[in-house]
Amino acid sequence: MLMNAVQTAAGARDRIDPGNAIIIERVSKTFETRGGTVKAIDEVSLALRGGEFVSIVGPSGCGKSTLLGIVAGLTRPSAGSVTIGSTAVNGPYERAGIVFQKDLLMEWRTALDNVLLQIELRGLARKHYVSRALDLLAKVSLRDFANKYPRELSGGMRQRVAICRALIHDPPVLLMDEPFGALDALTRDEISVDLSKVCDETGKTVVFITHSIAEAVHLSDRIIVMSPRPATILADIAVDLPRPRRIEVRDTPEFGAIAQRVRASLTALQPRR
Amino acid sequence: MRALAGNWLPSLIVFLGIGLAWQLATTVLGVPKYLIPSPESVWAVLSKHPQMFAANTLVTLRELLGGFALAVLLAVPLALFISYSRLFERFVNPVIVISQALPKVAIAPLLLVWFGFGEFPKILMAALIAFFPMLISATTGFKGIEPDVMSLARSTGASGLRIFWKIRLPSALPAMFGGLKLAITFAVIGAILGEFLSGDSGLGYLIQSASGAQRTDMLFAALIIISLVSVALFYAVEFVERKLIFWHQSQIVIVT
Repeated sequence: MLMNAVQTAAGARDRIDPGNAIIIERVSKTFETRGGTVKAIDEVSLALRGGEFVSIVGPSGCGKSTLLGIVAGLTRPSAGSVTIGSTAVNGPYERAGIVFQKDLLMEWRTALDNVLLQIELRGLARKHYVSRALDLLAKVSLRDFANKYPRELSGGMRQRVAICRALIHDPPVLLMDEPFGALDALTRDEISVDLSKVCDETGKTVVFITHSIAEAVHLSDRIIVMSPRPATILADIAVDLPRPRRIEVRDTPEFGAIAQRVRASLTALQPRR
Repeated sequence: MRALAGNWLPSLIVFLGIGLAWQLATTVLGVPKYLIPSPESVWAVLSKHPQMFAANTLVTLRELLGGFALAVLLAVPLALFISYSRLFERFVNPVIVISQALPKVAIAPLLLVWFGFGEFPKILMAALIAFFPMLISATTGFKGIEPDVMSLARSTGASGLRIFWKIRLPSALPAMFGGLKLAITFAVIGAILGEFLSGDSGLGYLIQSASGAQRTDMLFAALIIISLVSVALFYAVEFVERKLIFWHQSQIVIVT
């Protein structure tokens, strides 16, 4: 079943690297709260090929973020396991880059220094990464803002800096938890184009959590639709649109058809009244 | 330049107003000299004994800065422990709250019994009063870090020490400076309070003995020096704050 999922994973991009495949095996998570035990995730199994861009969509509070936390090794699953490449994830997985909904920039650091924070925290030599950081900033059109402080940047610019910070150490795995959730619609479109540019060039395995169907279809090779709590996988939809995808791809009938499928599987799970 | 004048002008007007009211009270209203000395007589006593005032100011300054430093050096690590461990917090919280509920004036005689009449009990007094605001603000600062920031830090595999220097400490600074500004002014109160109760030097002692001798001119002079010292120290802390956390919202000045 698992191997099957690996083989049928669709939306092929040419750089497939088994070294950064992600295998999520029968992962469950329950939380103890004051109101009793809450089951957030129920035996979710999912296999991502190396280099694959997979979006996870689902209703709010369905446990998507928890699942991402488990993949990152920041949250312990109650049962099940996660393996990235050949490494079993026990504790924070250091070969990942993470982008959160908030940009979490350090206000006392310039854009460049915020990108390099990742390097400093890892104890790597800063000077080897400065030019790479500037290149990344240039890729998201922020080269001229490298020396600006976060408060001088717009929300979209700040999140772009956060994306660069997640990429500076060239991690094979990129985990994104509703990274554009706090941005306005126009900025979201712009920044998702930037993200697809960066990812097309690097071939990282990406797990991308979003509420936006259009974003998911635009960026992904595959879309996983999750149920309300406890989270289970409802649908696994391949996105076989050619790359690179520009923003105009959203106006094509193929795009519409896939978005329609995602929406249908999401609405199918609405509770009936 | 205009902005600067705009900042200082209101305070200048207030001080001139107070000075004028003071002068009028002594000359026009005829308030007796032993109640309110005239500005000239205060100036006279200041200029007659500059060395005496300077020496006593120095004593008070030494005590209050010592107390301030002691308070900060104790409060910041304690705040750090509290922010790291909920269990530790539960243990120390009652002690801290009780220590704060006790009136410091009531503890002072005990400090005298324990530590004698030198400068040390005054330093302790200043530290005791300055400690609480410093602890509260530093704890707030250390605790105020967003959980996702800690997730981000953990995902890099960074050590606790590195996370402290790169993230925890700088994020706590804005809150800490609120506490530092309170603590420095509280330390002045603590030192003066200690000097009231015992000893033979310092501005508090000067006030005490001037009061005994009905020398209101000397008393006023000491009061003026104390408030100048307080204000100067407060602005000194604020100056460091501006240099250090220029990036924080509170430091953004809108110049129109």
